[in-house]
Amino acid sequence: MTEKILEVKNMKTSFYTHVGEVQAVRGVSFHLDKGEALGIVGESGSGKSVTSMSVMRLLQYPGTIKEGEVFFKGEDLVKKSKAEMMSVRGNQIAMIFQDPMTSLNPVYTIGNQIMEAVIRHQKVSKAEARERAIDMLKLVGIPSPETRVDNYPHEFSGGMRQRAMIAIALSCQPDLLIADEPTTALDVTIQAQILELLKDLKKKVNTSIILITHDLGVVADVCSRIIVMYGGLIMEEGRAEDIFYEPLHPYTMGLLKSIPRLDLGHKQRLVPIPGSPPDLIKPPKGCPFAARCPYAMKICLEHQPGYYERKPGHKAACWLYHQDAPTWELDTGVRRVKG
Amino acid sequence: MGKYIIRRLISMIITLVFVASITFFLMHAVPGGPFQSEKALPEAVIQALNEKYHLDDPLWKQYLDYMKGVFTFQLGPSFKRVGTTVNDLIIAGFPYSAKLGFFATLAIVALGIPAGIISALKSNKWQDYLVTILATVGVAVPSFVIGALFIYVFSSKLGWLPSFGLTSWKHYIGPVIALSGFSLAFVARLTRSSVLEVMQQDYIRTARAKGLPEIVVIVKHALKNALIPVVTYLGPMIAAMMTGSFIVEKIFAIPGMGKYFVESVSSRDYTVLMGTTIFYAAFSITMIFVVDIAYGFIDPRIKLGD
Repeated sequence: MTEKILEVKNMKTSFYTHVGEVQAVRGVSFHLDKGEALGIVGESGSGKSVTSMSVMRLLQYPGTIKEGEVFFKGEDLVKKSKAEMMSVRGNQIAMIFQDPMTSLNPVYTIGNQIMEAVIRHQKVSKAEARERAIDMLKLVGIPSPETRVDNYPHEFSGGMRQRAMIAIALSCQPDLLIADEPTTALDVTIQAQILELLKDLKKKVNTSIILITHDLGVVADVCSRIIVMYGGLIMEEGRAEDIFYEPLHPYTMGLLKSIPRLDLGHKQRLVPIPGSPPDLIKPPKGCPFAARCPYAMKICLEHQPGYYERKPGHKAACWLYHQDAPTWELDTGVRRVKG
Repeated sequence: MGKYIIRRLISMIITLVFVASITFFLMHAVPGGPFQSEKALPEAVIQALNEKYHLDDPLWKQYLDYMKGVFTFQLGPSFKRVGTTVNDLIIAGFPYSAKLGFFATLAIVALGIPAGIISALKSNKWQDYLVTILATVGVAVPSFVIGALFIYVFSSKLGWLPSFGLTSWKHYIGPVIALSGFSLAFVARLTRSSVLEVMQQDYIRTARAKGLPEIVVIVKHALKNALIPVVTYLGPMIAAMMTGSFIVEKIFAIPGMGKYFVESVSSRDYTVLMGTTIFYAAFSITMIFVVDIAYGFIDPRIKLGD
């Protein structure tokens, strides 16, 4: 049995805005094993980023964790004080963000921004921290790190800045790295490089990774297990190959159908999912996807489905798998390459 | 950097020449002259005066003579204060104005910026409302009202503070409040909006994600970025503060430069008007230059020079 590094239990996060309570995350449970890479997939507003910000306890007013527990190495992060969280953040759990162009402070050098975390969390001198910063830049593949360490962010390209962000995140050897859309703001070629780097670093420094993205292609490459989120809930969870080849939830199928594919030739049209995500100020009573689901039944609109586990570790929240549900010919969106 | 400074100095001189020329011709375009008054002087006297001060020369000659004076730092005699030169007036008045302006600037920086920061960090709490109300009052109430009210309450009614002159530290309180009121309020509001904006930036989230305490996040990561627009405003403001305010100097009977400047306009005291204008322009241009140099130190993205 592998050790669970993170276990989130029934976490609910809301933003109390003046128009009402936005229930961004409405009861999410998942776990992450040591050394594992977990992908959280979903479209904008599905609650994936809020989930990660909740785990980090980085929610800003008016967001709060309403309910639930977040066990990190056996300790509940929700119960920790602000000061205790500070020694976890950046030290044991680190995070990289979507836009490397704006995520680094423009008025301090790259080295300064790496050293800052190291000096904060580890008993090292300034000179040692600087050495560490140079080592980290080397690790993430920045050429001539000895001189680059004194550069300012505007002297780095987008891809290099994201590498620098990764260097900051990994500088204290965290147990968990949360990457929130780390490639979304980058060119496709740079995306591939950054993903390659993440995969490589996962092996080298042995951190567990949560990779948050709206791009199924990104998780396919890096993650062994995937969570699909929608409307603040987990719709489906399973190993990467389960999700890609035997999807259970109609939402996952919809996502798969909307990925462009090279192997199908130019005649294949992309199939978008009609409609838009639910309003989380007034979340629907039943399944959040029911309004857009081609297989929706009466019960889907009335009651939120529970999880149906089709095989160990692969489950979906969908009434289609209830024993009384009619059998459908499901268009799963799975297209295996023949040959 | 050296090249940059030289280039800037040259452009500053060109700017000053423009300011001096425009002022000179505008001034002469305005009807009337220094020796016209309600009590008509005999024609011969006016002629003699015009001759003495070369006001009967063609305009272009007057202009060239004057510009020669400007470049040799001889700003000429005052037409109205017989026996004093413009240089004398500036040397006499500027120290008072500068001292007052210095303390006003100090008050603006030491109170306005912290008030703005507190207001931003406690946005929509009572601290923010308090600062916002005070700042609105400060921007809306003109300095002569603040000055007059101050004298009425503290000098006349309570008798705590003197109402005129600049001899002890007590004398400074009223003029400094009246002089700095508007800018202090403005700086507080500018700082507030700037800090609020910077606190929304992604790099603030990054700093928090590193596990830095909030105070480090604010002081190290937010302030250096947030103060850039404030510094922009401070440069020219310091020039305006230190070259004197006519209103405040009038109310508190301070023998500063502001008085000469305003009086010279209505009395067509050409040389005094020109001299004080050029002095103010030079000071202002210099402060803008200082601000530009300071940018380079605050924000590495701004490269001075080529």
